[in-house]
Amino acid sequence: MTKDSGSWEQYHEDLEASGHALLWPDEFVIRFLCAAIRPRGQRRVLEVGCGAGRHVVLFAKEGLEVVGTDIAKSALDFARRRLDEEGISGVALEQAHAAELPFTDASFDALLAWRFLHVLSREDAERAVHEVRRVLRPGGSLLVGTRSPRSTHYALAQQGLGETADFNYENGQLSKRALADVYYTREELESLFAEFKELEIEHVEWTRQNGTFNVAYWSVSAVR
Amino acid sequence: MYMAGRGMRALGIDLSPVAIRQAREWAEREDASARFEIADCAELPIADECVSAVVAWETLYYGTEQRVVQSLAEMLRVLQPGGYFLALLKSKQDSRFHSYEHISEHTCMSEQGLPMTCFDREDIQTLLGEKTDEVGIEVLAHSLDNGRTMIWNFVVTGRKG
Repeated sequence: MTKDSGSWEQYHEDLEASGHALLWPDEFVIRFLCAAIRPRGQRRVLEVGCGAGRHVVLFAKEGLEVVGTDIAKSALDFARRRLDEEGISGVALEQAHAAELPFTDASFDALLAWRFLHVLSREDAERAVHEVRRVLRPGGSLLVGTRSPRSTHYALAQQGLGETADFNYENGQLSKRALADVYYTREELESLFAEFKELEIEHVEWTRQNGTFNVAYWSVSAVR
Repeated sequence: MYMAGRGMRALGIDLSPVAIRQAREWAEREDASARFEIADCAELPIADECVSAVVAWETLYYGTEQRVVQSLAEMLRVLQPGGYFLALLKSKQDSRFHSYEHISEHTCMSEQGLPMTCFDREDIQTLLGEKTDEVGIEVLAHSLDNGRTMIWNFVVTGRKG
């Protein structure tokens, strides 16, 4: 699997080089599009932490007005390349930190931050949630994903395994950056998103390596 | 539709005439080469060993145990030696397996009146038996209803020996 030097810039470079970059949209994001964005007739969507753009591509193909942000310029470069390859124009990609979004208040109908919140410190996550609420219009749709404590990653981090740049599932090592991931309980998420309406928190998990490695996320959907 | 779009000769089957009609309409709109037929996965109108890959997603667990076992056997029958399959089967850890009424060891009755058959890992290994190499069994699970219901499935892959 991918090497991970600890910087998101390098992470995306290595991921693209390894051929393991995520291409297809996540099922839960597709459900978000079909069950929240479409029926509400929402048009302008922001993805925070868009990475190499798999969801930005999905939303653009749907005909929505899409903006994507990521902290890594390399990620945005790959996203732009994918958009160009698909012949998609009109998508704005901006380098930004989730805790300081460069947009005016109430400027988006929907916001996605998928498999994302765990990479921020608790303080930054709180600030990011305030920012998310600020840039969403009242009635706007939200989907946030974050790693759950049922992840094998969590178990490995608890055991203090890692601090190596050579991460792979086989050796059970975690990068320094992955060791810093924050894992929330359902109650903590309910508290973090307390100012949103229609909060629904689902748990998603799947295994790798014939059931021995657990990947687990919380899927948090809400209305501004 | 996805597979046809990637240049494969794809055939989709379903028991529901409504589903097949909708699929055919979609293929026509997209000018796609995918074919759709009304057929029963427990009795495939396909000769032995003439398909290179089989996908059975979201459908194989509705039915009695006998029907599911038969469908798996049919899947293996039509596959060429060395052909791959991908099947979604339901796990006994699905929360509905415990709340629905049981009609046999592996099968319960859903609210809609559909029998739902669930397995554990060892059951699947046994079912696929010696005909299958490279068996992979992964969990794919998610909750519904704010965590009150747990959908628990197995993603099973393998290669016909």
